[in-house]
Amino acid sequence: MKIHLKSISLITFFSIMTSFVSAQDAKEIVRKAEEKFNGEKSSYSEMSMTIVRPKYQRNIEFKSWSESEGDALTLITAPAKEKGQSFLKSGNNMWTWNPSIQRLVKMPPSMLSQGWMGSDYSNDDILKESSLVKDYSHKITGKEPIDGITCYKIELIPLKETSVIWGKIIIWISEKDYLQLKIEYYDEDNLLVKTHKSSKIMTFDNRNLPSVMEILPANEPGNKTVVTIKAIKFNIKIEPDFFSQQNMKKIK
Amino acid sequence: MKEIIKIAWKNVWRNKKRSVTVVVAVILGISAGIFACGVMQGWVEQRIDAVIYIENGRIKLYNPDFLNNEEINNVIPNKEAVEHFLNKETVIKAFSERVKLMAMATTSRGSTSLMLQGINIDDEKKVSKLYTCLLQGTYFEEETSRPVLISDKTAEQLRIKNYVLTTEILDSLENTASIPNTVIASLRSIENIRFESENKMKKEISSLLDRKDVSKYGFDVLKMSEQYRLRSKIVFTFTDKQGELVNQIYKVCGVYKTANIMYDQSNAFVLKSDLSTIAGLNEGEIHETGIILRENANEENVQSAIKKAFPELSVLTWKELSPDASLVSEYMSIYLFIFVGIILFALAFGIINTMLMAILERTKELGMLMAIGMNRKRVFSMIMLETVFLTMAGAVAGMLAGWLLIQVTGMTGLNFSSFVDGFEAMGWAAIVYPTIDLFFFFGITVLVIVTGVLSSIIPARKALSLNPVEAIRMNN
Repeated sequence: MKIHLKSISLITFFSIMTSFVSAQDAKEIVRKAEEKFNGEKSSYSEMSMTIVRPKYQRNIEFKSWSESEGDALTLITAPAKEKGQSFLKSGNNMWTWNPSIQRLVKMPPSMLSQGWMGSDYSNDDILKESSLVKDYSHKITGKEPIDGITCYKIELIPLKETSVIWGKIIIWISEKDYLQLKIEYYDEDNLLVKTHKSSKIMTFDNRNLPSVMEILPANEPGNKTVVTIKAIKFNIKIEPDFFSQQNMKKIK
Repeated sequence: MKEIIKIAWKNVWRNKKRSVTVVVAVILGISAGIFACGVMQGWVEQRIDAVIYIENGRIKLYNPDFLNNEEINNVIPNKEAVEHFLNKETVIKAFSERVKLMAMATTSRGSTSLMLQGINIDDEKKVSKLYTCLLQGTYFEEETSRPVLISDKTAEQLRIKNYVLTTEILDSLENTASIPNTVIASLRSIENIRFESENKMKKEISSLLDRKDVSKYGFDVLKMSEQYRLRSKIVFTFTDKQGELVNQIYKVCGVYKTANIMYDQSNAFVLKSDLSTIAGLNEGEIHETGIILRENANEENVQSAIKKAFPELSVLTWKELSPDASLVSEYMSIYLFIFVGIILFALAFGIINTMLMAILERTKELGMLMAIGMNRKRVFSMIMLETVFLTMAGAVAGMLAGWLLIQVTGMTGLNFSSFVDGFEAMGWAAIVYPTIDLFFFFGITVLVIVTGVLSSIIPARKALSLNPVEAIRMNN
């Protein structure tokens, strides 16, 4: 009898241990995946964004500089109508410079959750991006291939007292490169709200990164936003006063 | 004179058919007029009641800068002294202090901007009747951390209001038998499926049912399927005292709906203690004080008293805060009299016509009366009294009918919900409880007599212009 009890407690001990280990792993995997994009000292990228709506489609091109501290500067380069508009993210705040009216505007809270440049990307997404590691509890629920690449399927449940609007997030991270290939966002009733999908892995600046990202809102069929990376460079040299309001106006 | 009155009264009823026609016309006109006035007055009173007891209170205090710019730093200066003053003033029944912040509300499916009001429940309940306007949930009674009370409209914008035909709803519909079973059977295919906007539900219903059923039952089914997801999370984003953006998560504890959509979609309520801490305000820093006075107090007097004691504050009465409502309330009685006046003006033509007919018919008789010595003054007053009697008979019955109609509908309420969106967008209730001042009936009586007298002038002149000798010989 005694032996029996012992073996049970041993088994439970091991199962607790293994789940503990896998929880650690899950968090680690998400952290590594986050670092793929945000972990470098600085980066410069050129991208194009296509906003697809049932009745029309439009294309925007932009350049973007960012720094590991979280500061970022984005400049629109096409189409001609929007060319020269720039966005500065510094800490928790965001400013926008519009050359056609010669005005610098600090984005009020009311504008933050509107889509950025009319896309399915909300400004809020951009500001709060870095909390996938800190604000959630992580669990590996299995392995699944996405476009033929084996991925960890990780479930993220928001911790209490964090200002996360999602009920849960499921994220597919590739086993080999730690790339986030698919993210599904669910509301509190566990219904799908939107999906982020990444594909077409290419080599930029000596590392493999997905070059196309799609955002698909779940309940608006026919709507999507596609972001294509054209060029990306890491650890470039950025002047200390680069992320400033003065620079927003003169950057080219 | 007494004789004349008697003769006039008898004359009215000589041609019963004709008189009754006029009397009925007057009854209809007056009762419809009074009823319409009752509806208008009921409406205005409800609006003013809402303005005072839900939206504004009788008087509100602000930092003057807050009215120009709703910034977190524009708090009421010298708050302890103000509080002390308000507590001492006997005509002040209650007051509630609020923290107000412009905030962005976000859920996983929607976002909107709102005025977030931090309130102290006990004080607020004495000042605002909003707690009586709950559709679902409670007024901060549940023990949850950081509750928020939002409106039906906000719930719609944040997609917290959903449309689901649950098995329970469909079963209960089947049992009540108000909707045919075939319709319910076809609705079963969307059983328990959640739609997040009214449009999507509408589209689904109209694709499942045929046209006739949609127009017959569609609205009811839609209303039945409305559901609020209580306890769902909303993230509020606003600038704190240091000018930094902060996010805070709240859980929906209740959903309210007033008659004013404009008010609804821009106001959400949270506990003052929750909001102050995160915004970096200390206990004494508030943006607004809403004040309710005792029944018979004069708000202008109180206003000037507060102004005198605290010249640095903006002291505004509800009339200044909602000029639209105060304007309507001031001119209401004039509107009502103009309205009844127009009805009576139209009726006057009918009365003149009837009286002219009567004169024409009685030409011979009038000639005889004049020939045997009835003087002009008496003839005139006889015809005038006849007209007034005719009008008054209808008016009295009409007023009685109108009053009864108002009493009945005042209890049941008149439902204008089919045009509800239009009315409520302007802040006027969709269900009206007509009411009327008794004073109004005196005004109408005077108006009716004036109408009677004025419309008797033409027939009376016609009678006076008769030549007795010719009139006697007239054959009719």
